[in-house]
Amino acid sequence: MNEIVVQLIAASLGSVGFALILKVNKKLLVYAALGGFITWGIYLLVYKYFPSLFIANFLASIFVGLYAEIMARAKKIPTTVFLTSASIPLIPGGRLYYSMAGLVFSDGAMFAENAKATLLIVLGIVVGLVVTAIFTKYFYKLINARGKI
Amino acid sequence: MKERNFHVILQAILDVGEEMMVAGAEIYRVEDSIERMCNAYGANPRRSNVFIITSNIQVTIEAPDGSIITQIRRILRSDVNFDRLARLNDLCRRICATTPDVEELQDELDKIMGRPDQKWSVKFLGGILAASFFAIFFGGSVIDAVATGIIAVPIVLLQNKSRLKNDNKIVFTFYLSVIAGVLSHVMIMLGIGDSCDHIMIGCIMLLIPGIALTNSARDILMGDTASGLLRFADSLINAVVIACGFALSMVLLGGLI
Repeated sequence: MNEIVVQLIAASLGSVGFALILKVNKKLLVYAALGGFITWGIYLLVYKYFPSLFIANFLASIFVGLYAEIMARAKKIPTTVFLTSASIPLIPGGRLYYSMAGLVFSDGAMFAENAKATLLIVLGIVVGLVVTAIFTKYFYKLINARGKI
Repeated sequence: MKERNFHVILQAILDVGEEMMVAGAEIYRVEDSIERMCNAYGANPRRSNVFIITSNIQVTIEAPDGSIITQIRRILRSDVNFDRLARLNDLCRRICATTPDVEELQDELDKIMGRPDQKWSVKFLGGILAASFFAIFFGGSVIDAVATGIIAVPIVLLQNKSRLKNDNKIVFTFYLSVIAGVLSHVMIMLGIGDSCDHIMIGCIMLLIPGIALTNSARDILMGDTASGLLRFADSLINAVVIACGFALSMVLLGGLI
């Protein structure tokens, strides 16, 4: 339980750090923190019930995509501003490191396990983003079409 | 309506598009914005074509007077700035709504470009927050986070000041990774930090091209397969180069701890 709290806090403050690096407006920093927090929360929750790296990252990434689209419409600011900082906790920096360490120390099992996990995570994130992108595109098309009739 | 020179207007529109790309916009957004601006100024919407692949914008429009204009813009800079991007996006919207004269458009663009850059204290704060909290996030201790925060300072300094950055991005990333890796080992030798692994993971998060990865995924999905794949390959190469840089530091110094 303690570990979860630490991870959630670290994810939100880390996202704020990235928002600062990407020069996001100060007024929007709180949304970076919120996005990072909920994204990692969803990941942890899903992973608890479906212990699959792919599914957990997929669902969390669907959330980030929707969150960014909704915030973008609400604040009239490009989607990528919200998407980039809130999705940072999903980026598998740790897995990438351990695959590399496996190579350096000639530990084949360590490398194989972590390299596979890195690929699965990246695939999960990308497929999740695709789903939201396609969904929002057609959703707004539908709304626009209705509005014209 | 008074006479307008569409060559100059298109050039000004491309200036806005170029700065959006430099500030970190997705390809499809810039294509869409340029097309909207051209159409707002009266270009024939059926014959305005905008195509961008990563570092090249090309536009052909049919101006209201019937002349056909093509301009190409090569982009070699990259300076991610989401605050500026939001303002440029806003400017696009205003341009589409009011179609101002070129002088006015240039003035507005200059105003956005002339805004003061982020303060150094904020730059350092961002780097330190990101690196040290991701060290904790991936399982590091508080001392690891302190060590990572210390390493973040020279990294941020190099990222902003080094002249190498614009010469060769790959070599620059490799050089930063080696420095971060060596500094992580130095921290452990000095007794600051419990686990070299977690310190290095925090540093990796600082260098990893997260933005390129998410943007390229979106580009591919929105139909810009060519630029999306180029950017995707670019971010993969970057990740491998980062791994190699840290690996080198481990091979050189790993035995000493």
